[in-house]
Amino acid sequence: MSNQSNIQSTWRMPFNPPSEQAQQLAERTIRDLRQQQRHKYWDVEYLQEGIRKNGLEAVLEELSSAEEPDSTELHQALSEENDRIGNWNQELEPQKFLVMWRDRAKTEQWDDICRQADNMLFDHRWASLQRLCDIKQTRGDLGFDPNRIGLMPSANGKYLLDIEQEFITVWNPQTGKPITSWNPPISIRSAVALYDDLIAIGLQDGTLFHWELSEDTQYEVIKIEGSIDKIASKEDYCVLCTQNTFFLIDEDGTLEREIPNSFD
Amino acid sequence: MTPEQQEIEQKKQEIVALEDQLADAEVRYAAYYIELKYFESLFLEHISPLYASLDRWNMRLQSTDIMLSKLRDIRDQVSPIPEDPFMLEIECAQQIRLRWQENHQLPQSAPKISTVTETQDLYRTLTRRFHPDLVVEDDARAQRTELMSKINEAYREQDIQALQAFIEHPNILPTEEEAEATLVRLIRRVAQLKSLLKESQQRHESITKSALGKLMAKAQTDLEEHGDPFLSIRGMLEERLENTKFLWLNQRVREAHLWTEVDR
Repeated sequence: MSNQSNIQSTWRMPFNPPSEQAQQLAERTIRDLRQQQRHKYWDVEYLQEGIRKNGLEAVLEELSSAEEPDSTELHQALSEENDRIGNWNQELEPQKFLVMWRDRAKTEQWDDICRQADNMLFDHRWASLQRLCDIKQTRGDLGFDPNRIGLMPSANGKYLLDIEQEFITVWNPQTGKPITSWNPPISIRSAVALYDDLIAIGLQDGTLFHWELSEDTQYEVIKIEGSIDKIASKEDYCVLCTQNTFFLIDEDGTLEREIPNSFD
Repeated sequence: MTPEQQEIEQKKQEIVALEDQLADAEVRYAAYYIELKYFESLFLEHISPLYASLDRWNMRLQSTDIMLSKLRDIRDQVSPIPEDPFMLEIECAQQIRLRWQENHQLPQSAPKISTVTETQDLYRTLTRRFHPDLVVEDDARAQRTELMSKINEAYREQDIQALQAFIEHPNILPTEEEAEATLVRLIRRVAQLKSLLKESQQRHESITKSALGKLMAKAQTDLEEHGDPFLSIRGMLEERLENTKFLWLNQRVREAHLWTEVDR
Protein backbone atom coordinates (compact mmCIF):
# COMPACT_ATOMS: atom_id res chain seq x y z
CA MET A 1 0.00 0.00 0.00
CA SER A 2 1.31 3.43 -0.87
CA ASN A 3 2.05 6.13 1.64
CA GLN A 4 -0.97 8.03 0.44
CA SER A 5 -3.31 5.14 1.17
CA ASN A 6 -1.75 4.73 4.62
CA ILE A 7 -2.42 8.35 5.39
CA GLN A 8 -5.96 7.94 4.18
CA SER A 9 -6.55 4.88 6.30
CA THR A 10 -5.40 6.81 9.37
CA TRP A 11 -7.87 9.56 8.61
CA ARG A 12 -10.65 7.07 8.12
CA MET A 13 -10.05 5.17 11.36
CA PRO A 14 -13.48 4.52 12.93
CA PHE A 15 -14.10 6.10 16.34
CA ASN A 16 -16.55 4.04 18.35
CA PRO A 17 -18.47 5.97 21.00
CA PRO A 18 -17.90 5.06 24.67
CA SER A 19 -19.79 1.94 25.72
CA GLU A 20 -23.43 2.33 26.72
CA GLN A 21 -22.64 0.74 30.09
CA ALA A 22 -19.98 3.36 30.83
CA GLN A 23 -22.25 6.21 29.73
CA GLN A 24 -25.12 4.98 31.92
CA LEU A 25 -22.83 4.55 34.89
CA ALA A 26 -21.39 8.02 34.31
CA GLU A 27 -24.90 9.52 34.20
CA ARG A 28 -25.76 7.73 37.45
CA THR A 29 -22.55 8.95 39.09
CA ILE A 30 -23.29 12.56 38.11
CA ARG A 31 -26.82 12.23 39.55
CA ASP A 32 -25.46 10.74 42.79
CA LEU A 33 -22.78 13.42 43.15
CA ARG A 34 -25.45 16.08 42.71
CA GLN A 35 -27.67 14.39 45.29
CA GLN A 36 -24.81 14.36 47.76
CA GLN A 37 -24.46 18.14 47.49
CA ARG A 38 -28.13 18.81 48.26
CA HIS A 39 -29.29 20.91 51.20
CA LYS A 40 -29.36 19.24 54.61
CA TYR A 41 -33.15 19.73 54.72
CA TRP A 42 -33.49 16.92 52.23
CA ASP A 43 -32.82 14.81 55.30
CA VAL A 44 -36.21 14.42 57.02
CA GLU A 45 -34.70 14.39 60.52
CA TYR A 46 -32.94 17.72 59.86
CA LEU A 47 -36.08 19.15 58.34
CA GLN A 48 -38.31 18.11 61.21
CA GLU A 49 -35.82 19.44 63.74
CA GLY A 50 -35.48 22.70 61.79
CA ILE A 51 -39.25 23.20 61.73
CA ARG A 52 -39.56 22.29 65.41
CA LYS A 53 -36.82 24.69 66.49
CA ASN A 54 -37.22 27.62 64.08
CA GLY A 55 -40.62 27.17 62.47
CA LEU A 56 -41.52 26.47 58.89
CA GLU A 57 -41.29 30.09 57.78
CA ALA A 58 -37.63 30.26 58.81
CA VAL A 59 -36.91 26.98 57.05
CA LEU A 60 -38.56 28.25 53.88
CA GLU A 61 -36.57 31.46 54.02
CA GLU A 62 -33.34 29.54 54.45
CA LEU A 63 -34.21 27.33 51.50
CA SER A 64 -35.18 30.24 49.25
CA SER A 65 -31.63 31.59 49.38
CA ALA A 66 -29.89 28.19 49.39
CA GLU A 67 -27.48 27.55 46.54
CA GLU A 68 -27.34 23.78 46.86
CA PRO A 69 -28.80 21.78 43.96
CA ASP A 70 -32.53 20.91 44.04
CA SER A 71 -33.24 23.45 46.82
CA THR A 72 -35.91 25.13 44.68
CA GLU A 73 -37.75 21.85 44.29
CA LEU A 74 -37.76 21.27 48.04
CA HIS A 75 -38.76 24.87 48.72
CA GLN A 76 -41.71 24.59 46.36
CA ALA A 77 -42.96 21.34 47.88
CA LEU A 78 -42.69 22.73 51.41
CA SER A 79 -44.38 26.01 50.44
CA GLU A 80 -47.32 24.09 49.02
CA GLU A 81 -47.70 22.21 52.29
CA ASN A 82 -47.26 25.37 54.33
CA ASP A 83 -50.96 26.13 54.83
CA ARG A 84 -51.66 22.71 56.16
CA ILE A 85 -48.70 22.75 58.54
CA GLY A 86 -49.45 26.29 59.70
CA ASN A 87 -52.66 25.23 61.38
CA TRP A 88 -51.05 22.59 63.49
CA ASN A 89 -49.70 22.80 66.93
CA GLN A 90 -46.32 21.21 66.39
CA GLU A 91 -45.86 20.35 70.03
CA LEU A 92 -49.08 18.43 70.24
CA GLU A 93 -49.04 16.86 66.81
CA PRO A 94 -45.38 16.22 66.05
CA GLN A 95 -46.06 13.20 63.87
CA LYS A 96 -48.56 14.89 61.61
CA PHE A 97 -45.74 16.61 59.76
CA LEU A 98 -44.07 13.26 59.16
CA VAL A 99 -47.28 11.76 57.78
CA MET A 100 -47.83 14.75 55.53
CA TRP A 101 -44.23 14.79 54.31
CA ARG A 102 -44.20 11.05 53.70
CA ASP A 103 -47.33 11.34 51.53
CA ARG A 104 -45.84 14.27 49.66
CA ALA A 105 -42.60 12.34 49.07
CA LYS A 106 -44.65 9.45 47.72
CA THR A 107 -46.36 11.78 45.26
CA GLU A 108 -43.03 13.27 44.20
CA GLN A 109 -41.50 9.78 43.95
CA TRP A 110 -38.73 10.69 46.40
CA ASP A 111 -38.31 7.11 47.54
CA ASP A 112 -35.54 7.78 50.05
CA ILE A 113 -37.46 10.58 51.74
CA CYS A 114 -40.60 8.46 51.84
CA ARG A 115 -38.73 5.58 53.45
CA GLN A 116 -37.04 7.83 55.99
CA ALA A 117 -40.32 9.44 57.07
CA ASP A 118 -41.97 6.04 57.24
CA ASN A 119 -39.17 4.69 59.39
CA MET A 120 -39.33 7.65 61.73
CA LEU A 121 -43.06 7.12 62.16
CA PHE A 122 -42.46 3.46 62.82
CA ASP A 123 -39.80 4.23 65.42
CA HIS A 124 -42.06 6.75 67.17
CA ARG A 125 -44.84 4.19 67.31
CA TRP A 126 -42.53 1.47 68.56
CA ALA A 127 -41.11 3.77 71.24
CA SER A 128 -44.67 4.54 72.41
CA LEU A 129 -45.46 0.85 72.58
CA GLN A 130 -42.31 0.25 74.54
CA ARG A 131 -43.22 2.96 77.01
CA LEU A 132 -46.67 1.46 77.45
CA CYS A 133 -45.03 -1.89 77.96
CA ASP A 134 -42.81 -0.40 80.66
CA ILE A 135 -45.86 1.11 82.32
CA LYS A 136 -47.54 -2.28 82.27
CA GLN A 137 -44.51 -3.95 83.79
CA THR A 138 -44.52 -1.58 86.75
CA ARG A 139 -48.08 -2.69 87.46
CA GLY A 140 -47.00 -6.13 88.59
CA ASP A 141 -45.74 -9.37 87.25
CA LEU A 142 -49.05 -10.43 85.74
CA GLY A 143 -49.66 -9.19 82.25
CA PHE A 144 -53.41 -8.85 82.84
CA ASP A 145 -54.88 -6.91 85.72
CA PRO A 146 -58.65 -7.54 86.25
CA ASN A 147 -58.96 -4.30 88.22
CA ARG A 148 -57.70 -2.23 85.35
CA ILE A 149 -60.26 -0.01 83.56
CA GLY A 150 -57.90 1.25 80.91
CA LEU A 151 -55.45 3.78 79.58
CA MET A 152 -56.61 7.22 78.53
CA PRO A 153 -54.82 10.36 77.34
CA SER A 154 -55.87 13.82 78.53
CA ALA A 155 -57.55 16.02 75.90
CA ASN A 156 -54.40 18.09 75.40
CA GLY A 157 -52.27 14.97 75.01
CA LYS A 158 -49.86 15.93 77.75
CA TYR A 159 -50.86 13.23 80.22
CA LEU A 160 -51.57 9.55 80.09
CA LEU A 161 -53.88 8.07 82.76
CA ASP A 162 -53.72 4.48 83.86
CA ILE A 163 -57.08 3.88 85.52
CA GLU A 164 -57.78 1.05 87.89
CA GLN A 165 -60.84 0.50 90.04
CA GLU A 166 -59.23 1.93 93.13
CA PHE A 167 -56.32 3.96 91.84
CA ILE A 168 -55.33 6.31 89.04
CA THR A 169 -51.72 6.93 87.97
CA VAL A 170 -50.84 9.84 85.71
CA TRP A 171 -47.85 9.35 83.39
CA ASN A 172 -45.84 11.63 81.20
CA PRO A 173 -46.11 9.98 77.77
CA GLN A 174 -42.93 11.69 76.55
CA THR A 175 -40.71 10.30 79.29
CA GLY A 176 -42.74 7.29 80.44
CA LYS A 177 -42.39 8.41 84.05
CA PRO A 178 -45.23 8.75 86.60
CA ILE A 179 -46.24 12.31 87.55
CA THR A 180 -48.92 11.87 90.19
CA SER A 181 -51.64 9.52 91.41
CA TRP A 182 -55.02 9.60 93.17
CA ASN A 183 -56.84 7.14 95.33
CA PRO A 184 -60.58 7.98 95.23
CA PRO A 185 -62.79 7.25 98.26
CA ILE A 186 -65.02 4.80 96.32
CA SER A 187 -64.35 2.44 93.41
CA ILE A 188 -64.12 4.05 90.01
CA ARG A 189 -66.67 3.00 87.37
CA SER A 190 -65.75 5.23 84.43
CA ALA A 191 -63.69 8.23 83.39
CA VAL A 192 -63.52 10.61 80.45
CA ALA A 193 -61.14 13.39 79.31
CA LEU A 194 -63.24 16.57 79.06
CA TYR A 195 -61.02 19.31 77.68
CA ASP A 196 -57.53 20.61 78.16
CA ASP A 197 -56.23 18.79 81.27
CA LEU A 198 -59.63 18.25 82.92
CA ILE A 199 -60.76 14.69 83.66
CA ALA A 200 -64.24 13.57 84.80
CA ILE A 201 -64.33 10.50 87.02
CA GLY A 202 -67.54 8.64 87.87
CA LEU A 203 -67.62 6.57 91.05
CA GLN A 204 -69.67 3.59 92.08
CA ASP A 205 -71.72 5.59 94.59
CA GLY A 206 -72.81 8.13 91.91
CA THR A 207 -70.29 10.85 92.76
CA LEU A 208 -68.76 12.73 89.84
CA PHE A 209 -65.31 14.13 90.43
CA HIS A 210 -63.36 16.58 88.31
CA TRP A 211 -59.55 16.38 88.32
CA GLU A 212 -57.43 19.25 87.02
CA LEU A 213 -54.20 17.51 86.22
CA SER A 214 -51.93 20.53 85.90
CA GLU A 215 -53.04 21.74 89.34
CA ASP A 216 -53.36 18.20 90.66
CA THR A 217 -56.66 19.06 92.39
CA GLN A 218 -59.75 16.87 92.57
CA TYR A 219 -63.17 18.14 93.60
CA GLU A 220 -66.68 16.70 93.80
CA VAL A 221 -69.04 18.09 91.15
CA ILE A 222 -72.33 16.30 91.76
CA LYS A 223 -73.74 13.19 93.33
CA ILE A 224 -76.52 11.30 91.59
CA GLU A 225 -78.45 8.19 92.44
CA GLY A 226 -76.87 4.94 91.30
CA SER A 227 -73.48 3.94 90.02
CA ILE A 228 -72.05 6.03 87.15
CA ASP A 229 -71.47 3.31 84.57
CA LYS A 230 -70.64 5.59 81.61
CA ILE A 231 -69.81 9.22 81.06
CA ALA A 232 -70.17 11.01 77.72
CA SER A 233 -69.32 14.65 77.10
CA LYS A 234 -69.85 17.20 74.36
CA GLU A 235 -68.92 20.85 74.51
CA ASP A 236 -70.24 22.22 77.83
CA TYR A 237 -72.46 19.26 78.71
CA CYS A 238 -71.87 15.90 80.22
CA VAL A 239 -74.15 12.84 80.31
CA LEU A 240 -73.87 10.42 83.19
CA CYS A 241 -75.41 7.00 82.62
CA THR A 242 -76.62 4.80 85.39
CA GLN A 243 -78.50 1.56 85.05
CA ASN A 244 -81.93 3.31 85.04
CA THR A 245 -81.37 6.97 84.19
CA PHE A 246 -79.41 9.43 82.04
CA PHE A 247 -78.37 12.66 83.80
CA LEU A 248 -77.55 15.73 81.74
CA ILE A 249 -75.35 18.16 83.64
CA ASP A 250 -73.77 21.42 82.55
CA GLU A 251 -70.23 22.68 82.92
CA ASP A 252 -70.74 23.86 86.49
CA GLY A 253 -72.17 20.54 87.58
CA THR A 254 -75.80 21.67 87.68
CA LEU A 255 -78.32 18.98 86.83
CA GLU A 256 -80.18 20.09 83.68
CA ARG A 257 -82.28 17.07 82.81
CA GLU A 258 -83.01 13.56 83.96
CA ILE A 259 -84.10 11.01 81.38
CA PRO A 260 -85.25 7.51 82.29
CA ASN A 261 -83.23 4.76 80.65
CA SER A 262 -85.73 2.61 78.78
CA PHE A 263 -83.08 0.35 77.25
CA ASP A 264 -82.48 -3.07 78.61
CA MET B 1 -3.09 36.46 -14.52
CA THR B 2 -6.73 36.36 -15.57
CA PRO B 3 -9.47 36.95 -13.00
CA GLU B 4 -10.43 33.26 -13.29
CA GLN B 5 -6.87 32.18 -12.55
CA GLN B 6 -6.78 34.57 -9.59
CA GLU B 7 -9.95 33.03 -8.23
CA ILE B 8 -8.52 29.54 -8.74
CA GLU B 9 -5.43 30.55 -6.75
CA GLN B 10 -7.63 31.96 -3.96
CA LYS B 11 -9.64 28.76 -3.83
CA LYS B 12 -6.47 26.68 -3.69
CA GLN B 13 -5.22 28.74 -0.75
CA GLU B 14 -8.60 28.42 0.97
CA ILE B 15 -8.45 24.66 0.49
CA VAL B 16 -4.99 24.49 2.04
CA ALA B 17 -6.16 26.51 5.03
CA LEU B 18 -9.30 24.41 5.46
CA GLU B 19 -7.32 21.18 5.21
CA ASP B 20 -5.02 22.47 7.95
CA GLN B 21 -7.99 23.34 10.17
CA LEU B 22 -9.57 19.97 9.53
CA ALA B 23 -6.34 18.19 10.34
CA ASP B 24 -6.02 20.15 13.60
CA ALA B 25 -9.66 19.46 14.55
CA GLU B 26 -9.31 15.77 13.83
CA VAL B 27 -6.07 15.51 15.79
CA ARG B 28 -7.65 17.30 18.76
CA TYR B 29 -10.65 15.01 18.58
CA ALA B 30 -8.46 11.91 18.29
CA ALA B 31 -6.37 12.99 21.31
CA TYR B 32 -9.49 13.66 23.40
CA TYR B 33 -11.05 10.41 22.25
CA ILE B 34 -8.02 8.38 23.30
CA GLU B 35 -7.97 10.13 26.65
CA LEU B 36 -11.69 9.44 27.14
CA LYS B 37 -11.32 5.79 26.19
CA TYR B 38 -8.55 5.44 28.76
CA PHE B 39 -10.70 7.20 31.36
CA GLU B 40 -13.60 4.90 30.48
CA SER B 41 -11.52 1.81 31.21
CA LEU B 42 -10.25 3.28 34.50
CA PHE B 43 -13.75 4.37 35.49
CA LEU B 44 -15.23 0.94 34.84
CA GLU B 45 -12.36 -0.75 36.64
CA HIS B 46 -12.49 1.38 39.80
CA ILE B 47 -16.08 2.55 40.11
CA SER B 48 -18.31 -0.19 38.72
CA PRO B 49 -17.39 -2.71 41.50
CA LEU B 50 -18.50 -0.14 44.08
CA TYR B 51 -21.78 0.38 42.26
CA ALA B 52 -22.26 -3.37 41.97
CA SER B 53 -21.84 -3.68 45.72
CA LEU B 54 -24.20 -0.76 46.33
CA ASP B 55 -26.81 -2.38 44.08
CA ARG B 56 -26.60 -5.63 46.01
CA TRP B 57 -27.14 -3.81 49.31
CA ASN B 58 -29.97 -1.80 47.81
CA MET B 59 -31.65 -5.02 46.75
CA ARG B 60 -31.37 -6.37 50.28
CA LEU B 61 -32.81 -3.12 51.56
CA GLN B 62 -35.70 -3.23 49.11
CA SER B 63 -36.42 -6.82 50.01
CA THR B 64 -36.71 -5.79 53.67
CA ASP B 65 -38.93 -2.86 52.61
CA ILE B 66 -41.31 -5.29 50.93
CA MET B 67 -41.32 -7.48 54.02
CA LEU B 68 -42.09 -4.48 56.26
CA SER B 69 -44.95 -3.47 54.01
CA LYS B 70 -46.41 -6.99 54.13
CA LEU B 71 -46.05 -7.15 57.91
CA ARG B 72 -47.79 -3.79 58.27
CA ASP B 73 -50.69 -5.15 56.25
CA ILE B 74 -50.89 -8.12 58.58
CA ARG B 75 -50.70 -5.87 61.64
CA ASP B 76 -53.43 -3.60 60.30
CA GLN B 77 -55.48 -6.71 59.44
CA VAL B 78 -55.48 -5.92 55.73
CA SER B 79 -54.11 -9.38 55.06
CA PRO B 80 -53.99 -12.51 57.23
CA ILE B 81 -50.86 -13.97 58.71
CA PRO B 82 -49.74 -16.84 56.47
CA GLU B 83 -49.79 -20.31 57.96
CA ASP B 84 -46.51 -21.17 56.31
CA PRO B 85 -43.88 -19.22 58.27
CA PHE B 86 -41.57 -19.04 55.26
CA MET B 87 -44.20 -17.85 52.80
CA LEU B 88 -43.51 -14.15 53.31
CA GLU B 89 -39.76 -14.57 52.93
CA ILE B 90 -40.27 -16.55 49.73
CA GLU B 91 -42.66 -13.94 48.29
CA CYS B 92 -40.27 -11.10 49.09
CA ALA B 93 -37.33 -12.97 47.60
CA GLN B 94 -39.31 -13.70 44.41
CA GLN B 95 -40.39 -10.09 44.01
CA ILE B 96 -36.92 -8.75 44.50
CA ARG B 97 -35.43 -11.38 42.20
CA LEU B 98 -37.76 -10.31 39.41
CA ARG B 99 -36.81 -6.68 39.97
CA TRP B 100 -33.13 -7.60 39.93
CA GLN B 101 -33.55 -9.52 36.69
CA GLU B 102 -35.39 -6.59 35.10
CA ASN B 103 -32.65 -4.18 36.11
CA HIS B 104 -29.79 -6.42 35.13
CA GLN B 105 -31.26 -7.92 31.97
CA LEU B 106 -28.85 -8.22 29.11
CA PRO B 107 -29.88 -6.41 25.94
CA GLN B 108 -32.25 -8.54 23.87
CA SER B 109 -30.88 -7.46 20.54
CA ALA B 110 -27.58 -8.87 19.43
CA PRO B 111 -24.69 -6.48 19.87
CA LYS B 112 -23.93 -4.45 16.82
CA ILE B 113 -21.01 -5.84 14.94
CA SER B 114 -19.37 -3.64 12.41
CA THR B 115 -20.18 -4.91 8.95
CA VAL B 116 -17.59 -2.76 7.27
CA THR B 117 -15.06 -5.18 5.88
CA GLU B 118 -11.67 -4.47 4.46
CA THR B 119 -13.08 -5.03 0.96
CA GLN B 120 -15.72 -2.37 1.51
CA ASP B 121 -13.12 0.06 2.83
CA LEU B 122 -11.00 -0.48 -0.21
CA TYR B 123 -13.93 -0.13 -2.56
CA ARG B 124 -14.96 3.16 -0.94
CA THR B 125 -11.43 4.52 -1.15
CA LEU B 126 -11.27 3.63 -4.82
CA THR B 127 -14.66 5.12 -5.53
CA ARG B 128 -13.69 8.37 -3.90
CA ARG B 129 -10.58 8.48 -6.05
CA PHE B 130 -11.74 7.22 -9.44
CA HIS B 131 -15.45 7.98 -9.69
CA PRO B 132 -16.24 9.51 -13.14
CA ASP B 133 -18.46 12.19 -11.66
CA LEU B 134 -15.50 13.75 -9.90
CA VAL B 135 -14.16 15.15 -13.19
CA VAL B 136 -15.81 17.12 -15.93
CA GLU B 137 -13.41 16.55 -18.78
CA ASP B 138 -14.70 13.93 -21.27
CA ASP B 139 -11.48 11.93 -21.73
CA ALA B 140 -10.87 11.67 -18.04
CA ARG B 141 -14.52 10.70 -17.45
CA ALA B 142 -14.28 7.94 -20.09
CA GLN B 143 -11.05 6.56 -18.58
CA ARG B 144 -12.54 6.66 -15.10
CA THR B 145 -15.77 4.97 -16.24
CA GLU B 146 -13.75 2.12 -17.70
CA LEU B 147 -11.62 1.78 -14.59
CA MET B 148 -14.63 1.95 -12.28
CA SER B 149 -16.35 -0.88 -14.16
CA LYS B 150 -13.27 -3.03 -13.43
CA ILE B 151 -13.28 -1.98 -9.80
CA ASN B 152 -17.00 -2.79 -9.54
CA GLU B 153 -16.40 -6.22 -10.97
CA ALA B 154 -13.55 -6.90 -8.52
CA TYR B 155 -15.80 -5.79 -5.68
CA ARG B 156 -18.62 -8.03 -6.86
CA GLU B 157 -16.18 -10.93 -6.83
CA GLN B 158 -14.90 -9.79 -3.41
CA ASP B 159 -11.42 -9.97 -4.91
CA ILE B 160 -9.42 -8.09 -2.33
CA GLN B 161 -6.10 -8.52 -4.14
CA ALA B 162 -7.49 -7.00 -7.33
CA LEU B 163 -8.93 -4.09 -5.35
CA GLN B 164 -5.59 -3.54 -3.62
CA ALA B 165 -3.94 -3.45 -7.04
CA PHE B 166 -6.19 -0.60 -8.11
CA ILE B 167 -4.91 1.46 -5.14
CA GLU B 168 -1.56 1.60 -6.94
CA HIS B 169 -3.23 2.88 -10.12
CA PRO B 170 -2.23 6.47 -10.87
CA ASN B 171 -4.99 8.97 -10.52
CA ILE B 172 -6.82 9.94 -13.68
CA LEU B 173 -6.98 13.69 -13.92
CA PRO B 174 -8.00 15.88 -16.86
CA THR B 175 -5.08 16.53 -19.17
CA GLU B 176 -5.86 20.11 -19.63
CA GLU B 177 -8.68 21.04 -17.43
CA GLU B 178 -10.52 24.12 -18.46
CA ALA B 179 -10.34 27.00 -16.01
CA GLU B 180 -14.10 26.91 -15.47
CA ALA B 181 -14.11 23.19 -14.75
CA THR B 182 -11.18 23.58 -12.35
CA LEU B 183 -13.01 26.32 -10.49
CA VAL B 184 -16.12 24.14 -10.14
CA ARG B 185 -14.00 21.30 -8.78
CA LEU B 186 -12.27 23.58 -6.28
CA ILE B 187 -15.53 25.14 -5.11
CA ARG B 188 -16.91 21.64 -4.51
CA ARG B 189 -13.82 20.75 -2.55
CA VAL B 190 -14.13 23.87 -0.37
CA ALA B 191 -17.76 23.02 0.40
CA GLN B 192 -16.78 19.43 1.20
CA LEU B 193 -13.97 20.52 3.53
CA LYS B 194 -16.22 22.99 5.35
CA SER B 195 -18.81 20.29 5.85
CA LEU B 196 -16.16 17.88 7.18
CA LEU B 197 -14.80 20.53 9.53
CA LYS B 198 -18.24 21.29 10.94
CA GLU B 199 -18.94 17.60 11.38
CA SER B 200 -15.66 17.11 13.24
CA GLN B 201 -16.33 20.05 15.58
CA GLN B 202 -19.86 18.81 16.34
CA ARG B 203 -18.52 15.34 17.06
CA HIS B 204 -15.95 16.77 19.47
CA GLU B 205 -18.51 18.95 21.22
CA SER B 206 -20.94 16.06 21.57
CA ILE B 207 -18.36 13.74 23.16
CA THR B 208 -17.12 16.49 25.52
CA LYS B 209 -20.65 17.19 26.73
CA SER B 210 -21.48 13.50 27.24
CA ALA B 211 -21.85 12.21 30.82
CA LEU B 212 -18.51 10.44 30.59
CA GLY B 213 -16.87 13.60 29.24
CA LYS B 214 -18.23 15.69 32.13
CA LEU B 215 -17.10 13.09 34.63
CA MET B 216 -13.63 13.04 33.09
CA ALA B 217 -13.40 16.81 33.58
CA LYS B 218 -14.31 16.33 37.26
CA ALA B 219 -11.79 13.52 37.61
CA GLN B 220 -9.17 15.76 36.06
CA THR B 221 -9.83 18.41 38.73
CA ASP B 222 -9.60 15.79 41.49
CA LEU B 223 -6.36 14.50 40.02
CA GLU B 224 -4.84 17.97 39.93
CA GLU B 225 -6.02 18.91 43.43
CA HIS B 226 -5.70 15.63 45.33
CA GLY B 227 -3.66 13.30 43.12
CA ASP B 228 -6.55 10.83 42.83
CA PRO B 229 -9.00 11.13 39.91
CA PHE B 230 -11.75 9.19 41.69
CA LEU B 231 -11.38 10.66 45.16
CA SER B 232 -14.76 12.38 45.39
CA ILE B 233 -16.67 9.69 43.48
CA ARG B 234 -15.19 6.90 45.58
CA GLY B 235 -15.79 8.89 48.77
CA MET B 236 -19.41 9.49 47.83
CA LEU B 237 -19.98 5.83 46.98
CA GLU B 238 -18.30 4.50 50.10
CA GLU B 239 -20.46 6.80 52.22
CA ARG B 240 -23.60 5.65 50.42
CA LEU B 241 -22.57 2.05 50.86
CA GLU B 242 -22.10 2.49 54.60
CA ASN B 243 -25.41 4.34 54.90
CA THR B 244 -27.24 1.65 52.97
CA LYS B 245 -25.77 -1.12 55.14
CA PHE B 246 -26.73 0.78 58.30
CA LEU B 247 -30.20 1.45 56.96
CA TRP B 248 -30.67 -2.21 56.05
CA LEU B 249 -29.59 -3.23 59.53
CA ASN B 250 -32.16 -0.89 61.07
CA GLN B 251 -34.85 -2.15 58.70
CA ARG B 252 -34.14 -5.68 59.85
CA VAL B 253 -34.58 -4.56 63.45
CA ARG B 254 -37.91 -2.95 62.50
CA GLU B 255 -38.89 -6.16 60.77
CA ALA B 256 -38.14 -8.09 63.96
CA HIS B 257 -40.24 -5.62 65.97
CA LEU B 258 -43.15 -6.07 63.60
CA TRP B 259 -42.88 -9.84 63.79
CA THR B 260 -43.20 -9.70 67.57
CA GLU B 261 -46.29 -7.52 67.13
CA VAL B 262 -48.11 -9.56 64.50
CA ASP B 263 -47.25 -13.09 65.63
CA ARG B 264 -47.80 -13.10 69.36
